[in-house]
Amino acid sequence: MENKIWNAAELYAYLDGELLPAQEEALKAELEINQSLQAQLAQQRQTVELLQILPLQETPRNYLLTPSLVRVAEPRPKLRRRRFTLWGLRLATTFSALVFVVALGLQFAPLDAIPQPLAQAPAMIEKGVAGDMEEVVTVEKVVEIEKVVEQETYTESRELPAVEVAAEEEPAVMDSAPPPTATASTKNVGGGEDFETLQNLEAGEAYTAEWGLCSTEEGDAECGGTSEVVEETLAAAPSAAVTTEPTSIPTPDEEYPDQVTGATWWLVGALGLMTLVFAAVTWRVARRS
Amino acid sequence: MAASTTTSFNEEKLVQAAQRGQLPAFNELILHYQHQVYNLAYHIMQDPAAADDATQEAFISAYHALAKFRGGSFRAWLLRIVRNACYDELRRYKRHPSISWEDFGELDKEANPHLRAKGESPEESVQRDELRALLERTLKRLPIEQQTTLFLVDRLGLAYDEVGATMEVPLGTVKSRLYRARGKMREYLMETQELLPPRYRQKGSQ
Repeated sequence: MENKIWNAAELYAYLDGELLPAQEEALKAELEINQSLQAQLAQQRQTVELLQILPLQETPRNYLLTPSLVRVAEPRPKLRRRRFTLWGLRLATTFSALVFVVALGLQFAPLDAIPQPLAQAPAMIEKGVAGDMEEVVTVEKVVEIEKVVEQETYTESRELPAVEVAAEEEPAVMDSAPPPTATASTKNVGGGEDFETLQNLEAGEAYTAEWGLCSTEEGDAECGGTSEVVEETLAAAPSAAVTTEPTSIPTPDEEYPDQVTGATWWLVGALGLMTLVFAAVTWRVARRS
Repeated sequence: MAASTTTSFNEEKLVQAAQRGQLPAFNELILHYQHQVYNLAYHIMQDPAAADDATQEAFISAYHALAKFRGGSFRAWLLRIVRNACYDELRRYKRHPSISWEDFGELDKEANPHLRAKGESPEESVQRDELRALLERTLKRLPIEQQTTLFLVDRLGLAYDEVGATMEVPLGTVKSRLYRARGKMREYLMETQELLPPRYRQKGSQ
């Protein structure tokens, strides 16, 4: 049978009772027959005993914990957490209040200054902005037409009947006049586009009717007679166009009243309420800490 | 070797009760382990007042960290807390050194009646103190990890696996540290064997 060579670490483990049962049995058997191993073990045992010879220090007191001792150490993380919560609430309240004030300010600001939402842009272009542009073009064109008519009036027809007569005949002419056409108007005015523009004006109905009569090629006198009426009407047309401007262009007030007074006011109200809630919670947490 | 377990002491039940927040149950555990905890603190800090503070702090920390205890050796877990608390304190002390406790010399030991065993004659007490001083000097020549391993096994009587849990090292490391520490201790003590009690004076060296 081959003898195992036991090292110092295993002998210490044996002294400490840390060897496996099988190893322990084997070492015990070896110790019975091996004198040098017994001597080595005795030396090691002496070292361990020497280290264990001294008593441990007596404790100077008992370390029993009391509820106050435990409580003193507890609040630290809680306090820190509460401080963070408080600062978070303060920040939220301030932000909410700022948003509320801005929203409220926008509600009372002039609506022209408020950029409309993108969704409303096409409608605005069609109804509002485009309308504005058309009116400006219309006025310019009416002025041009007026100049042309003035020239014709002064150069071509000096023997025209009195304005009063033409004025008396005017209703009958208007009643019997067929609907004006673009081709008809071009003969007298010089441009179909001008006629179409004028056709949009409420105040220019009589004016267009007279131009319809002129297109029938009935003679210079008849046309000249009506030219006086045209002149007057033309004089009135630009002003009519200008005066009709407020009614013909839809203002934002008229066009989007529901959006302004409905959802936005609800939003402002909700923001105000949220600010109040934040402020109340912040005040309460601040009082507690 | 010192054995610390008693039959009447039901550690598991007390730990469970303490985990439920019962302070009396935790106090029972303190009474059972405070001796070992204080001695480990004293061994590391080498100062009674510092050991006292570290022990109290360790118990408070342990109470608050009870929920993190997942079974195993409660003693090893407790000793790990005090060991870490002591190392933290030593690191703090290195950063902010104050008056050395060694400047007070033997004053504390003389003043502390607990340091003298009951029924011990003054002569025996002197011999014991000399032997203690010799052992402590010898122990200090070892690396700190070997010192602590040796102290935990030979002075506090911890099993190897408990030492591994306390020191947070594998079992093999515990064995090798212990073997080296004991070998060196024997070597150093033999250098001054005339100071040892007669029965420990060796006829031959290892």
